[in-house]
Amino acid sequence: MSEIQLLVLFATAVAFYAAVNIGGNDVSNAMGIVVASKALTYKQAVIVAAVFEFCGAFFVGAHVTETVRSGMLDMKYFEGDPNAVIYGMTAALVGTAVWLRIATQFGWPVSTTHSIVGAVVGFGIVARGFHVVNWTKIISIVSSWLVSPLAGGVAAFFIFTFLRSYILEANEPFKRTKAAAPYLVFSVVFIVALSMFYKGLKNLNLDLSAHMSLLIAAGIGLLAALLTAILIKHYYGNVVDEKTNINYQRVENIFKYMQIITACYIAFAHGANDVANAIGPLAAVLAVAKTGEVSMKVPIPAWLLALGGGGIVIGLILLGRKVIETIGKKITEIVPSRGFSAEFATATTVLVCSKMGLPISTTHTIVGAVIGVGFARGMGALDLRVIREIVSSWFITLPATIIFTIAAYKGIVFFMVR
Amino acid sequence: MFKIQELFGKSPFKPLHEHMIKVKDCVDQLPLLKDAFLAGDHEKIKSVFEAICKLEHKADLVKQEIRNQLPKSYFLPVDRADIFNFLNAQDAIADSIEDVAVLISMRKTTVHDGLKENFAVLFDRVIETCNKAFEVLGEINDLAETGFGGFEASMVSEWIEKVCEAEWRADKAQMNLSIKVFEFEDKISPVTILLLDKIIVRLGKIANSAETAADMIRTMLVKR
Repeated sequence: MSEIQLLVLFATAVAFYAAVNIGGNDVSNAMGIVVASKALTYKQAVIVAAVFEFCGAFFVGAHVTETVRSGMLDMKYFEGDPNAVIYGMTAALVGTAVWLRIATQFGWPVSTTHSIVGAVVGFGIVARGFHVVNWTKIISIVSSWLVSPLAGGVAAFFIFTFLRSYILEANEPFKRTKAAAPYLVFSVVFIVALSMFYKGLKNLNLDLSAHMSLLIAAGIGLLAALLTAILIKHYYGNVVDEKTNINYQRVENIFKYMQIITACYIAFAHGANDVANAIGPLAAVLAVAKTGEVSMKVPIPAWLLALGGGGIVIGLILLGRKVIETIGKKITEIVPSRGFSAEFATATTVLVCSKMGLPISTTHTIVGAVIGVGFARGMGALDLRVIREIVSSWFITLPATIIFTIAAYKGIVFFMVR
Repeated sequence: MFKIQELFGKSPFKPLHEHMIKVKDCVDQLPLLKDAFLAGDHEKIKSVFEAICKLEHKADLVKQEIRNQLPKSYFLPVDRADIFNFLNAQDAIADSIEDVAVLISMRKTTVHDGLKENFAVLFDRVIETCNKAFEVLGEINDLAETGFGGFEASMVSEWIEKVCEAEWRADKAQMNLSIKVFEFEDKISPVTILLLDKIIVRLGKIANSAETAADMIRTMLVKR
């Protein structure tokens, strides 16, 4: 086995380790809210997350992976020296892993996504210089970090304002809930199905046209809505609102069930965006190692997406349950209708960014969405000190990962070119 | 790694409701205090007084807890100041009840037979005002659920009107009783009159605080 092959194996191991970490830590932030509002037990949350994280990673993960692999650096500068890409992307994975390890040790709220972006930039700088970095792309990515929490917040504000004015402020809120539920279910299922079918099934050698995917997604959405309507009629058909002293608990109960659907949604969106953090650099390494060329346009192999998705699932099962459990116990204040709004908004924002190939932080988007619900007078008490921590983590992550990646690159080159 | 739980502070609304229940426990002692006071049963007065002190202390503990867990960095659906004002008003109900119990228990006073009926009426009106107020205060969780608006809010607003009415009746009862006390000024010792007057004023204060607390809820509804 040649040294390069060994390095590729090493890169695969580090990428898998990164995926396991994402599954163990990042997913829990997304699933914690569902557990906190008691829509799902810890075990159920892990199962739901495992299935949908994998689906998201496998069907939609390629877009962001493509960005991490070849969108941020101008790859033509590496032609003639393909090994530099292998060293560099491996260094990026190592730099990210080291930085995340340190940040976790100190409890800093850094994002895996931001780290990997910094790391790839660091590789570009140390290997060729500032000019190889595709700065317009970097600027659009970095601005998406600011925009995604804001977009999540605005979306959550409007979703919750709608739920508040249509359902909670009505004199027959339960009747309104029963009426609205099928539509809400339809919109979630439709969006997830559409993003899966449109350009998503390429991995299964099935490419549906836009019309076809739209039609199938609408069909599945309608089916889900119909099922919701039937279930509600069956279980709550005879239940009506009181004249005074309205029972809001029952309204929230329905939202508890609908939160299961948004939980699937958020896990799907998270998988779609975050799998790239682990396998994006690896995709570059593998493509170069296989073809020996840098600028060859090879599609992201399906097995690689499966590897990333699998790593996330393993991390989730091995490490995630405990983290989710802690979060579920610590957050006692989230009401299902609020959780539903925040999750719906977050998942939609993350999924749109995934389709656009923008690597963003799901966690920061959740924070934005929860604050958006707060602005619509939906949250009991939010500790806004978190915002300051997040913003400062933006400023520290890029320089830190750049430095760690440069060090890792120097180390790898030292060993390989001896 | 970021922990999402750090974003969520403890909501003050459930503890506010808990505090209300503790205050209500104090109000529930008032009928006993009334009966013991009018019957001149000093043993009973002493035991009710002790019960009220304990209950008032329990309410105080909840109050302090709420105050301690609302740092300035918290983002709340209503003004932080409104929450504190509401809490103070709700707590003042229990405080005034304790004051009345202290005044009644500090001296072995017998109530003149001619005043008993009016005293009973004042007690009842005050208790009624409190209970009407508790109907409003008990809705704080549902109000938080609905974002302090809509049907729930307009329903509560109507109930607040009823509290004001009850308080007005309590005021009238207080005035009638005060007039009555002075009608008997030749038959009662000046010291007793002094004490009775203090008790009457404090009883009125209970109803006032109940109304203020209900009114603070209205402030939360208006400012949306």
